[in-house]
Amino acid sequence: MSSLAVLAVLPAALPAGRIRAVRVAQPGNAVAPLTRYELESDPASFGNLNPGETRVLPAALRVRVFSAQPWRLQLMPLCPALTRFSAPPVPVSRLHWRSAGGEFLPFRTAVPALIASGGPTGAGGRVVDVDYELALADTDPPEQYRCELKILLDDNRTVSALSLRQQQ
Amino acid sequence: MDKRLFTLIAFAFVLGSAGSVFADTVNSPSVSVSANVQGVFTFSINNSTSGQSFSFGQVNAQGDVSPTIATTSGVTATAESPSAGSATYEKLTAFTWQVDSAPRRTVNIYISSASRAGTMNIGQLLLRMTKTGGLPGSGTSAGYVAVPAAPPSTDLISGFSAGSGGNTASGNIDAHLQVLDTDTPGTNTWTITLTANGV
Repeated sequence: MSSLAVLAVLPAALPAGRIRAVRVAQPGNAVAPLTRYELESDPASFGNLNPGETRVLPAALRVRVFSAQPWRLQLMPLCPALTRFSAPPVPVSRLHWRSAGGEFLPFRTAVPALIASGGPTGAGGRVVDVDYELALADTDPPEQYRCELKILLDDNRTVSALSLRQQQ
Repeated sequence: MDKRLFTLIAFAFVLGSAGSVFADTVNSPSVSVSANVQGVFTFSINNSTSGQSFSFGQVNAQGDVSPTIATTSGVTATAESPSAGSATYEKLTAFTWQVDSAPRRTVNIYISSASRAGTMNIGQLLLRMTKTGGLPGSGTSAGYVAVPAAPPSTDLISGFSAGSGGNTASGNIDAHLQVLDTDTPGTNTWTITLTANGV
């Protein structure tokens, strides 16, 4: 009867008590370990540039992945185009990415790009750096270009889909 | 009875914990990808966007050319034949011009304003623009256009593509002056504004 009284109090302690309880209970839990990531980069901006210009932002996106099992990290553009007001719109494929020294590849709207994958990361996690490249055609119009990207972290068991909010 | 209730509450607690994992990650910093793409459209004469000038020097209806002008400025003169009632003076490449555009645009250039101080008719001065590499279709120029008393003029040159870098458009401006034997001696000065329009 006394145990019941203690448990009945727990929901009233949310939300702070709830987060703490997760971290304490997790190591001893039989449920599969948590896979998650942390963003360690600032918002990426190419700054001012002109049509026809190509610019690279090294390590524009830095993600630290924590996982106790194999994982995949993907980036998926959500924007239909880089511009909103120009006609025709500038396609997302002007924006390229690369990681681990590979070649730049174009993004495609709503198509996940496999950025990195690996095995268990250990407690410190694994850092994934992504370079961005914006290659403008000389016919591309002046405008504020932007795109919303989604990070997809898949540990073969769950998918953590988080939308990265786009800022001006 | 008490034990069953304990189990039920504990299960609900585990579910709540799983939900909080995602809530924790949502609080991560956000990132963005953005770029401020700017436009460029520069029309320059003699590699400058400020005023440029050229002088024919001393001229007359006989088509005389000062040896100094002829040798240093490349002015050529042609007297009307057989009567000597007028002469024309011409300076090829009196100026150079350049249009730098990003994004790439189709450009036309015309005289947007003009004035003349002196006694000659404003239309006695004519300008011709040529484009390096030629114009769409054929030729490198639309020919001489008289400076209008009431601008704008017809296009000195039009329909060409101008970009940036290696796609920058450029060429020359030739000047042509007609001198009549009825012209009053004195100094005549034309002040002309050329405007480049890109679409």
